[in-house]
Amino acid sequence: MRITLVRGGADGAEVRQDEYEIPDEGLASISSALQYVARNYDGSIGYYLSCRRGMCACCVVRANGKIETACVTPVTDGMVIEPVKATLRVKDTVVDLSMARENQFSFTAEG
Amino acid sequence: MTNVDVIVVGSGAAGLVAAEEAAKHGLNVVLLTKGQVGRSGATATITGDISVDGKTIRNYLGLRGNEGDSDRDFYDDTMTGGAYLNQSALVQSMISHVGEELKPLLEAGLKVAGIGHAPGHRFPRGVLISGMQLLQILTRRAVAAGARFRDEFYVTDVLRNADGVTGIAGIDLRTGEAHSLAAKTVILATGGSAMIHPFRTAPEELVGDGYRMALRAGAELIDMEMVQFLPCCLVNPPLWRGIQFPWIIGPQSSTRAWLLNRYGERFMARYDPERMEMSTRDKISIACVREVQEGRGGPGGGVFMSWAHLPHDILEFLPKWYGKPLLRETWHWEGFDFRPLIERIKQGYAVEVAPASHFNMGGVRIDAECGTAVPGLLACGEIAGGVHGANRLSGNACSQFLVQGRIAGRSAAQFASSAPMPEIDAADWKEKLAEVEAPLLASDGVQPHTLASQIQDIANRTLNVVRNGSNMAQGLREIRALRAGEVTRMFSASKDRRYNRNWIDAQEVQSAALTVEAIAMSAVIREESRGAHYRDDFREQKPEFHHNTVVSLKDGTLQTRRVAVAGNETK
Ligand SMILES: Cc1cc2nc3c(=O)[nH]c(=O)nc-3n(C[C@H](O)[C@H](O)[C@H](O)COP(=O)(O)OP(=O)(O)OC[C@H]3O[C@@H](n4cnc5c(N)ncnc54)[C@H](O)[C@@H]3O)c2cc1C
Ligand code: FES
Repeated sequence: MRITLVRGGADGAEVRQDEYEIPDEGLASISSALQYVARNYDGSIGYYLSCRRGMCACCVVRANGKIETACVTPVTDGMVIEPVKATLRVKDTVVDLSMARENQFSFTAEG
Repeated sequence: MTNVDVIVVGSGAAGLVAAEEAAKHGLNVVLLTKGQVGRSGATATITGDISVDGKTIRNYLGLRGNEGDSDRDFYDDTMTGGAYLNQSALVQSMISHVGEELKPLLEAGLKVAGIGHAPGHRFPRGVLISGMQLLQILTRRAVAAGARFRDEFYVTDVLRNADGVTGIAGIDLRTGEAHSLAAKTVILATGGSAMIHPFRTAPEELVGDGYRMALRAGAELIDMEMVQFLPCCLVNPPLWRGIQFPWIIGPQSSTRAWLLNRYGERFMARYDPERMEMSTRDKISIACVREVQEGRGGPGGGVFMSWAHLPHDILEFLPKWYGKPLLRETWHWEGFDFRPLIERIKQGYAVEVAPASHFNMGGVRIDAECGTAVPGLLACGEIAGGVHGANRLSGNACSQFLVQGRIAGRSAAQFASSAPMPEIDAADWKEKLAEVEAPLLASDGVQPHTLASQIQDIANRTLNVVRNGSNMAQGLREIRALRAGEVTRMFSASKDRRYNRNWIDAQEVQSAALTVEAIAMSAVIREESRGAHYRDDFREQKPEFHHNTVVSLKDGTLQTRRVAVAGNETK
C-alpha cells in the first residue's frame, strides 16, 4: 500500500508531500507505517512514538484530515498523514505536546 | 552560564518526583527526557494500582482499606513475592513512606477508581489510579517547585572524573546537536528495558539506556536476571502486539477461556491439572512458553486462547461483569477498539497469545539513600534494582517510584549543596562525543534497526520465561559476538541530524546489547529457579543461591559476582 506524508519543519523548511510504498502485513498502525518508512527509506522522518497503546497521546497526527492517535489507528492504503497542528510542528509529524512547555531549559543559551 | 546542581534523566513518575524534591531545596534542577514530559515512560501506561497497606489506606488516606492489614504484613508479602532477594532497607522505606507520598497527590485531585486486591497481597492494597493523571499532577508540582525541562533530549552518557560525576552527554533530538552539560549530581530515572524483547507491554523508548550509562560510569547493577513477564498478551496483528487484552477477558476474568496448543489440547493439564487455566500467572507463562519450545505452539510464537466452548452471548455480558471503567461495552480498552477482535472470537476463532516482558526487578544497585557506587550518581524508580527481589507484586512499582523519587531528590540536594561545581573532563567528553557521532559519520556499515531485531530474537530464544544453561550460553555467545562485531559497525543511512531515527536506533542498540549481556551473565550463574527466573534444567529453588547477583563493567568487560543479601533472614 502507499501512504503520503506531509513533511517539513517549523524552522522554515519547505512543506512538501512524499509518497512511500509500505508492505501490507495485516492490521498495522499509522505509527508502524511511519517507523517502517523511517527505517527503510529515510531515517530523518520525524515521528513520535512511546506507549503504543493510545495512552500518552504524543503520537497524534492528522490522517485523511481527521485527528487520530497514530499508534492505535490502522493505516490504510492512500492515507495522507500530516501533523495534527501546523503551529505546534517540530518536524514532520512531531508536535510539541510536552506538559512542561513553558519551563524549558535551553542548551544554547546556557549550556 | 548558570551552574546546574542536579540533572534528572527521565520524566516518568520517579524523575518528576525527584526533580520536584531537589528543586524545593532551592537548587538549579534540569530534567532531561528522551520523550516528552508527561507523555513518556511506563508511567503513562498505568491504569492500575499503587500499593499501600490497608491500615494506612483506611486511617491515613481515608479510603476503604482493611484495618486488619499492617506494615508488617505488606513487608512480608513483598519479601515472599521477591523470594527473599529483596534489600530489606529498600522495602522498609518504600512501605513506610508510600502513604505520605500519595496523600498530597490525592489532595491535588488524583482520582481513585477503587481499591484492588492483586495476587500475592494478602489484603486489598491497590489504590487504583491513572498514570496519565498522575504525570499531569507530578509535572505541575515539579514546575511549581522551579525545575526546568528539556524534552526530546537523549542522554547517552554520564560524564565523570576521578572524583565522581561531572555531568551528562547526549543528543538534542530536535536540533540533532550533541551537547554536554555539567552538574554536581545526576539522578537516573530512565525506567526499564522491556524493549529488548519482541513481545513487551512497555513503551518504545525503554531499552536499558540507564543500565548502560550506570555501568559505564562505574556503578553496579543488581539482580538483572529477574525480569517479569505478563501472561497471554497478543502476538498479532502488529497493531495489537504485546497488549494484554486477552488476559483481561481471559480465564481469570469473568469468562473461562481455555488455553490450547496447536493440537487443540488444553495443555495446562500437563502443568497444573487441578487449577488448569486458573493457575498462577507465572505457571501459566511457563506452560505457554514450554509448549512453544517443545514444538506445540502457533505460527507467531505463541499458544491459543479460545472461547469457542462458550455460547456466543456470554461474551456480550463481559463488560458488565468486568465492571467499568477498565472495559467498556463498546469493547474499547485503553486506546484500542477491540470490536474486530471480539467479532472474530464470537465467530469461534482462537487468539494467539504469548507472555510479554513487562518489568525489570533488577537494576542499578542503590543504597537506602538512592546513592550508587559513583559519588554524585543516584538512581530511582524502575531503573533502580533491589526492592522487588526475584519478583514484584502488583502495585509495588508505583510505591517504589513515589518513595525513591523523593529520597533521590533529597539526597541529590544534600550532596549538591556541599559539593563544588565540577568541570567536565575534556578528554572524557571528546571520547563520548566521538562514540555518539560515529554512526552518523560512518559512510557504510550495518543498519541499526536490523540489530535491534536480532537482539530481540536472542532475548526471546534464550532469556525468556523458561531458561536453561545451554540456551543461555548460546545467547551469551551470540550477544557477545554481536557486540564485538556488528554493533561496532553501525551506521546511519540518513545524515540529517534532526530526529534521525537511524542515529537514535544506533544509540538504543548499544544499550539493548549491553543490557542483554548483563541479564544473560546474571541468569546463567543462577543455577536454580527462583521468582521470575525459571530454568528447566534447575527447577527447584536452592538455599545456596540465596544471594544477589551483581554486575559491573571493568575495562570494557562485564563481570558478575555474588553478594550476600543485605539485612534479611535466609530463606
Ligand atoms: C502497561 C504497564 C502497566 C503497568 N501497570 C502498573 C501498575 O498498575 N502498578 C504498578 O505499580 N506498576 C505498573 N507498571 C510498572 C510501572 O509503570 C513502572 O515500573 C513505572 O512507571 C516506572 O516509572 P519510572 O519513572 O521509573 O520510569 P518510566 O515511567 O518508564 O520513565 C522513564 C523515563 O525515562 C526517559 N528516558 C529513558 N531513557 C532515556 C535517555 N537515554 N535519556 C533521556 N531520557 C530517557 C523516558 O523517556 C521516560 O520519560 C506497569 C507497567 C506497564 C508497562
Ligand atoms: S504512542 Fe502513546 S498514544 Fe500513541
